[in-house]
Amino acid sequence: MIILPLFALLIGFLIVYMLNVSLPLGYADYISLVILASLDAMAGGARARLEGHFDEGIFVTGVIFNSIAAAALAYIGDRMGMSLYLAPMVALGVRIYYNIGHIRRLLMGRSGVPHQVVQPRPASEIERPGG
Amino acid sequence: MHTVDMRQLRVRMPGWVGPATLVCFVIGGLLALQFTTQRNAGIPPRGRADVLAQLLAASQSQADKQKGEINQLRGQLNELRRVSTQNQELNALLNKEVTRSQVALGLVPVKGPGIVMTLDDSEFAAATKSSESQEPFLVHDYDLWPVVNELRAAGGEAISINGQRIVGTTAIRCVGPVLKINDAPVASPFIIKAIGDPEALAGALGIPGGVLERFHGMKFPAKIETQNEVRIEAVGVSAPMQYARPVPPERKP
Repeated sequence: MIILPLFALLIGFLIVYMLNVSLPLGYADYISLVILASLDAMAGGARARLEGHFDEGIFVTGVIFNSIAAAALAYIGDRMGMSLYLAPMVALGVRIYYNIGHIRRLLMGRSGVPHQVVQPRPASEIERPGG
Repeated sequence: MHTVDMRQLRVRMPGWVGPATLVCFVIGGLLALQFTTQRNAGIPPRGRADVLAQLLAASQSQADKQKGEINQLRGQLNELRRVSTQNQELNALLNKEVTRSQVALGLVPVKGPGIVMTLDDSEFAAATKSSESQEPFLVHDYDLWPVVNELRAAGGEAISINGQRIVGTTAIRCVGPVLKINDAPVASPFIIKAIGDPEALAGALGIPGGVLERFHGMKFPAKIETQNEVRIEAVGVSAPMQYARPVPPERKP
């Protein structure tokens, strides 16, 4: 099933690449922020799924809201003559790394908390919010 | 093993696959968009060496041509000396020389094959409201310098911008909000005319990573048209030389 999103990534890339559309350079910062926000949402979503509390609503709204918030912050920064786009860039970047680290630990079957050794629990004991 | 229960996973799959696929699709599209934007805007990452090699070859052939010109001028000088005893021939030759100098100095209007380039402020300029943020999207003196430079380098014999002939004493500079050429205020849209080999001139501006590409990257509407006959005005006012005096030619011992 993981093939489907990867396939979609490739298809999306190819479609836009073939169309050969390009935005003016002034929007480049905004696009990269939206990409970063989406990657963050993907990392967060993957972690949530591995931890068993993935929620479609939270995931989709997270992508949209984070993208808009990041772009808005960058826009306000542009108006104020401040490099405010750095804020979402750093915040999202740090979070992506944090989540990737979590995912790695989860995949290795260990706790998501780095400095804390947690005994592996049977699957039936894992908390499932909303369930 | 501390993983999610497989049965639970199978039930949840359609749930996460849908949104994840959608978001991945968007990421892919945005990545491609960003790639294309960067590629169209920036200097081409590869092929820079090719461009430089071409430039080198071009400038070498130019140097060879100029060596030929030097020889030709020496011949002309010898001829002048030879005919200096015959007044009539001398007069005709001097007249020819004066006309040639006037054309070169821009003192007379000229016509010939060449290009007409139009350049306007960036499309972004209209979208931004405050004058400070408009700044990078307006045509400045430093935008026109490389154009003139490239045209000269490509063998442009006469160049004018909005009717202002570019001559040896021309300054192109921004004075406050006004762009001045030959001390005359000019404003966008700019019409840059040049006489010379039309293809060489258009090629010099359109070279990858060159002037035209940079303008297009910033969404400056820039267009080049080759024409069989371009008319270029004479320089308006040529101030008399107050300080520069000719150095008398050195006598051979």
